[in-house]
Amino acid sequence: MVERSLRRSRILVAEDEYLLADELRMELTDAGAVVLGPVGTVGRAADLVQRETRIDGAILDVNLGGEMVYPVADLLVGRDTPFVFTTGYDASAIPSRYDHVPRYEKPVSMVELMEALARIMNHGIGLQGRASDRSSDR
Amino acid sequence: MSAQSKLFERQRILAAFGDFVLDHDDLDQILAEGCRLIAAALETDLAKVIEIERSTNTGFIRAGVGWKDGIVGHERIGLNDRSSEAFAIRKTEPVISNDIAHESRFDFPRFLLDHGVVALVNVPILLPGRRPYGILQVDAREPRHFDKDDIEFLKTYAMVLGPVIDRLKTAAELRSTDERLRLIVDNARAYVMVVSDADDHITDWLGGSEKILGWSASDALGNPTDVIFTDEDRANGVPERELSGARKHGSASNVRWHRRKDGSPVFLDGQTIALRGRDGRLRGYFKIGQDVTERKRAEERQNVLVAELQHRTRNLIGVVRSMADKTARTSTDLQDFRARFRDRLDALARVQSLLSRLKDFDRVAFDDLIRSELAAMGGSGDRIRLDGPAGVRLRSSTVQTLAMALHELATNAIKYGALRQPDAHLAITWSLEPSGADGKPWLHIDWQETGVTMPPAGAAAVGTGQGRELIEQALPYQLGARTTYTHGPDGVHCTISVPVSEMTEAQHG
Repeated sequence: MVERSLRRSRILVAEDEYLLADELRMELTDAGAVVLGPVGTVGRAADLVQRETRIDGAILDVNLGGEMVYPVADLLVGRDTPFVFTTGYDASAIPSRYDHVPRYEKPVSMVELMEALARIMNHGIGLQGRASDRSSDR
Repeated sequence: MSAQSKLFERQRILAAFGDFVLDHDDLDQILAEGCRLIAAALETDLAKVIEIERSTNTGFIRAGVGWKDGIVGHERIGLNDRSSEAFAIRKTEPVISNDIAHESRFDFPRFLLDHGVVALVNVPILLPGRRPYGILQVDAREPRHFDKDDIEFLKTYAMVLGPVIDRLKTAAELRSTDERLRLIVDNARAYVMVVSDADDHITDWLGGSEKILGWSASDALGNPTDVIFTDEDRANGVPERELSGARKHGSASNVRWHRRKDGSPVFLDGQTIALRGRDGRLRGYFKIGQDVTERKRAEERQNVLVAELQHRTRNLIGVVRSMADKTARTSTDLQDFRARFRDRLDALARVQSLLSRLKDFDRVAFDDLIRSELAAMGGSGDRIRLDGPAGVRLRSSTVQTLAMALHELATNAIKYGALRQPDAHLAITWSLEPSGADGKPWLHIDWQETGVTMPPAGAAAVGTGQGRELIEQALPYQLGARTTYTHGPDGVHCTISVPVSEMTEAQHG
């Protein structure tokens, strides 16, 4: 189920710790996804988002080498790309404008993370939530 | 003297006393003058004012005229059952002893007898509300017949004295209370204390207000108290909310960053209190707060450190898990896994202990890191050459990954390379480039094994490849390092260049 839903999807991975990034890369590749990155800095992640025409989902580490990943998150929100946060901090420290974004505290369970990714890409939890917010504003 | 001229004389004396009172505000001076005038009016040379001291039930000779030194301002008399003064106070009317030789009601103090007193009148002095203050006493050294006129005059005089004494005593008490309060607020230097009126304009700038906030009293008076709030709090209506909270509940907590005259922040921990008169009407506000800026900063630093520690710990657990995965993938059996996993975990633990020994802003130096790793691996002796500057300070984020890479290099050297073969050598040399490609300092590390008999080309690669992956993949990914890794004809050659801390030893002090 999970593997089928991730198959051939293009997933951006932003994680500054090489070993964790590599683990995500392997898990995603095993699930049949195409990994964009991994990248370890906000700058590289932002470049990648702007360069790639198709991104189906993203896994963003909240803190990349001391920089907060939010600019990248905002770019993804702007193009309606679903994503999840991973964080080594208390997840409640994430700004409230991302309340709709699933978050996973490290150490992350790979199984849960892959399921969450598949879920938001299939059902667009965060995005459809936002879209309906917008429509109700009108 | 005729009765009429006596009356005029006594009226003149009362007027003279009234005049004196208008020009003086010292109670002792006024009472002394009062005694002098009353003695003259009664044609005697002895008079005094005795003040009741309730706590000891005695009378204190507060003022007097005609007495030897050591009496006025010193002597006290007992106000007991046999005291003529106590009797007069109880009766609240004059008590006359025309000749104490024939007086059976009272005993008289020793010093009266010593002065040759034989006749006296005690007139109670009453304060407003008929509270007894003491006794006006006129004494004579020969038997007297104090007549009705004398007594009426003395009563009048005592009635004038009462309010005068009351006013001066009240004023003196107020002055002393006022001085006490002034001393307290002036010396409470650790506190901002600001009083404002009902429109919240500053009327008093007390305690440490000037020292802590920077405005002098003259700068501050008349301004609204919101000048000490931050722009953000002002924009959000915090000052008004605080005042309305104080009006509603009596006081409102005021624990937040404020702003000094120079714009710098100061954290005050205190409250704003509504000041209301007895009638319940709002008179103003009192804002008091302790300057706890340093404590606040320490708390903030601590919060950052705790968050950072949490972050590192969680990442570290992730690293350990992935290390276990990777080791498992390349292990032949559980025993192999156990040995190699434990070895890597130990290396990781060594790095943590190096890091945990550091204080704020301190850094791990590269030479310490490499020596600690080689010592732990048992790699030492004359087959290893270390050459490079001491004290090249690594970025904290660099230390763990670099240490793991060095550990993999050392492990491979011990298992297969320069540290296993008797004729082989290992040279580790490094240099600091103060201004590298990006203008920042870089450390260049060169790991050169020589004299190693390499397996024939085409044979299975030695080692796990994990060291190589760390060097070729992890270091560039995570640290922005430039690395090379080659199997030369007589040993491994590896170079690692990493950006290092911009703080030099000298800056660190």
